[in-house]
Amino acid sequence: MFSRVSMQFAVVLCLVSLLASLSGVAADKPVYVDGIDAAFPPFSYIDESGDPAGFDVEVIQWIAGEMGFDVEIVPVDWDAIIPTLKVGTIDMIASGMTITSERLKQVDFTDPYWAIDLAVVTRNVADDQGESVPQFNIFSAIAAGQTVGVQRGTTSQTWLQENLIDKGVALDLKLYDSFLLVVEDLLIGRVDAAVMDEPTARSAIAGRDAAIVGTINTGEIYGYAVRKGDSTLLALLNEGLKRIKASDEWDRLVEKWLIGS
Amino acid sequence: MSFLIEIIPRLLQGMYITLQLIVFSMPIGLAIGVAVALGRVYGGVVLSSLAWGYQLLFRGTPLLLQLFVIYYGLPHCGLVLSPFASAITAFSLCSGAYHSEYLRGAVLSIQGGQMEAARALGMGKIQAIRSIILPQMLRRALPGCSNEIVYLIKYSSLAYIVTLVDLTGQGRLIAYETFRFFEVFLIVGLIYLGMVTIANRFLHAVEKKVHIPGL
Amino acid sequence: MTFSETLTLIGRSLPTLLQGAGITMALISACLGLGILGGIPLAFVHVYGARWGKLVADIYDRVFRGFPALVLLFLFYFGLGSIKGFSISPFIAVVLALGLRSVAYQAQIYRGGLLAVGEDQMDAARSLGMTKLQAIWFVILPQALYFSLPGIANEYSIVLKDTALAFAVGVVELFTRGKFIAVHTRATLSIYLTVAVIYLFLTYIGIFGFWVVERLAYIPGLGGRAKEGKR
Repeated sequence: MFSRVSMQFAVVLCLVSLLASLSGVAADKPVYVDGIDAAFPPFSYIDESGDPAGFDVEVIQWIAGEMGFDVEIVPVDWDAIIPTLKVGTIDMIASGMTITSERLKQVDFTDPYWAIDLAVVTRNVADDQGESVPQFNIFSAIAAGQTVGVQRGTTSQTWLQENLIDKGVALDLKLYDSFLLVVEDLLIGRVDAAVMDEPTARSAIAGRDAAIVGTINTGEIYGYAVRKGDSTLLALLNEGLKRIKASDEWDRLVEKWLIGS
Repeated sequence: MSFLIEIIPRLLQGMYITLQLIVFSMPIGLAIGVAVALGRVYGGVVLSSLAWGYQLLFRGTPLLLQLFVIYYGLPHCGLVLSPFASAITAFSLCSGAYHSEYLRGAVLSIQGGQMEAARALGMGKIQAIRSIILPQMLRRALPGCSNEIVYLIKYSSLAYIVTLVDLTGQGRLIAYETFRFFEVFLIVGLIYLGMVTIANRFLHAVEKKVHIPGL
Repeated sequence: MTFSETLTLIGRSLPTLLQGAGITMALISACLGLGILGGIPLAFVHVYGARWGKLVADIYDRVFRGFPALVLLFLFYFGLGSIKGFSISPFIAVVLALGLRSVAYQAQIYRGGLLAVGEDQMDAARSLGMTKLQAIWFVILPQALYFSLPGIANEYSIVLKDTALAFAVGVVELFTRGKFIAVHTRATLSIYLTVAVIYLFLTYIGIFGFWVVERLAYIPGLGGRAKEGKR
């Protein structure tokens, strides 16, 4: 009878610890889920091995280590990223996200950590000397009658819509899942120009037959986003940002990912 | 309610694209289906193997993958199609593969003796197919092919992959802007349901009209 | 890219792709399973149900077979997810959306199977003293399920391909894994062709499996009534 009781006790113990580990009760550190754009180099992307990489990925991982939490990084369809944050599948967005007044209505942002402008990219063509030169300049690239590609759900889309299309400039705006796909189509020839965040533009056209023909000085600033009212995580991220910016790690990461900025 | 009225114009814009996609893909898909089915049944070894391979490929892989390959992959081989052409191609090829299975089943269900009889009367193979086999085959496959046409109406919603903003695409844009997911997608879904119902009624009427007693 | 470079890339990508394939198989198993669990009862309602039951079944059928899969995915994930206090994981949302949809399609398949068995078997069973429930369980259902096997095999291949849409609500499965690699390495055709081969493999393994089940479940003389045609 003793052995049966101890057997039963052992079984119960196993079940409890199994359940506990499944529900994370056994975990000593809080786990936050970070949603990223899977194709937004140099800030966030998924590499060939399927692992997340990029400036924001490394910053968040450093902050997590420093501030004492675990972070799980998952790719999300970009135009659905704020709804996904609200639904609760992810707890933060650390992926080169511009702080805008529209977005501030839906989420809370950390202090800014980087500033960018938008770049206009066109593909190169051969000129009379056989040299490879950009096909348009910044004015003719995004003029009426042109086909311009952007990623859905980005400030590039909003800028073109509000500042050109709504003001009567008849350009054909094409929406893609990812800026990298826009550049693909640019090189294929289905769009005349692409507009995207400048660091991404430089990353996307590296080694390819395209060039940045100008920048749109939108003076955008990036921040990390959390759900409205999630002050705990927001404080953690802000403190973490403060610390990393004060450390050598920041310079190392900027050097590694954002050289030339 | 006023929300509904606000978004209707944009949804109609999307629906215009959806309808165009369906109107073009449907007949082309059906035509491909007939060709492939006949190729498999009456073709020589080469033709029927090619037809079998086509069916294997387009019924065994996701439409999403086919769209990506046709839109982003083919340019690497030198073939660049516009978004619209890419979508029509993908939808027709995918649809055609399914149509061809229904049509093939229909051909096989026609007694073999009919082909022999036709040949015995001096008809060429092609003439026999055109006058004897084809009319029966189309009628027998109609239920299956109608089913596939309904599927086409629904999977036209994948057009956003090749930058076409169809009904679903417009719905997504509106939903992401307004965060009113439930309402937007419910309305979008009901519009598709409406199209499907109309298509079903129409195809049912066609079935009745072309019905030959004793077939 | 040279041929050997391409092969190396494919080799390096395989582990990630197969991981995605694992998620795909998990999805299809759950969706198909849900479809079977719900499809059989729904088929009974379609065939034997009371008038109001048939009406409800009909509405269910129209909604889940009339809405595109993508729209259902959005409704279940974002629609349900935005209800206060309700939290839904992307995986569960996909299983619900595609699974409940499969319930509707499978119900049609089992309905066909039930009808193929023939009313006279029900009469015979009742005349032997069985209750309606006993007749269904011991006589009708086994045969109906056997006849439905080709249809379920077909449904398996359809749902398998629909799982490729799962990233729209955040589930990273085989196709999405392929997309990430292709976009990052720009080796579009080779990666997508590899993904296509994996899908073909998964599809035809499944169909083969169902074929094996069909052979194992075959009882000589089965379906004699249905094959003879109408009385």
